[in-house]
Amino acid sequence: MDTLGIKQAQSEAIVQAIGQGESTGFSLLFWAAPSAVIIAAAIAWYFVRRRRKGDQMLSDFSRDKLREIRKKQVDMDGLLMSINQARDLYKLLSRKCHPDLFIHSDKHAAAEALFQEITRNKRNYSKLTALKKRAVEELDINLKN
Amino acid sequence: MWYKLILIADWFGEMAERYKLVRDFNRSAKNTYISGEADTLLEARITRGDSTYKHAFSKFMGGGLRIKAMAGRPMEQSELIEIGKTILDQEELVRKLISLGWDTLEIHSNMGHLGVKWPLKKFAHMGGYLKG
Repeated sequence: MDTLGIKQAQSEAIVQAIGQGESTGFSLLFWAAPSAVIIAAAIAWYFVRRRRKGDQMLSDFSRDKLREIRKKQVDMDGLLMSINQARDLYKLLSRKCHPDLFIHSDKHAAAEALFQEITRNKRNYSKLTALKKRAVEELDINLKN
Repeated sequence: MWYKLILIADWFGEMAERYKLVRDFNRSAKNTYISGEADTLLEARITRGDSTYKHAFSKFMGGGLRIKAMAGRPMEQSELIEIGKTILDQEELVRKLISLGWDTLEIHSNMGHLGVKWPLKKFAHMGGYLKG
């Protein structure tokens, strides 16, 4: 009789333990799932907000606009001339057209504007060639030496 | 179905345009070298590129544009950077490179182990600042 009673008590304890375990598992899932969703939503919101106003993603561009860009012709000869010759021309122009050379002259303002243009286009050979002509005309300098 | 055909035609057109750009560059480089305007012969070719520089239009296994300077000597970093910056300063060219699926610009010399590379998306100014 005693052993039967003990066994019954043991089985009741097991049932209770299982019941408790089940309830714990359910409550964990109950809290974990919504909190995971909330965290994911917060992360997504953060990344959406991080994209500043006015920024464009590359994927935003339409196919037509892309096609338009692709069809544009690039002056390769000009590019190669810029790679090979622009540096020397820039050095020459920046040396000859430096505003400090025209301090006590009425050409100082023109030299300053020209020098800024030269610095802005220091790697563009075609623009530097145009500026060279402008320098000869406006500042009246000899660029052959 | 028709839409897919247009996409396929687009893909072939894009590939042709890519090879045309590389061919044009090599032809101009050869001409400037032969005429004596350039000290170094430059050669462009398509490479794999850097996977960390990828953007929305990047070509799979073909995102790199490598320009090799046939200087016959190891070039200094400043010389390589100067070549790269001159290319990156040409806004129209950079836009075209990006739209044709390039994402990396690499500059090397034919001797030595030094080379420099840039992510092209950093130099694109399509409609304000861009992100890849």
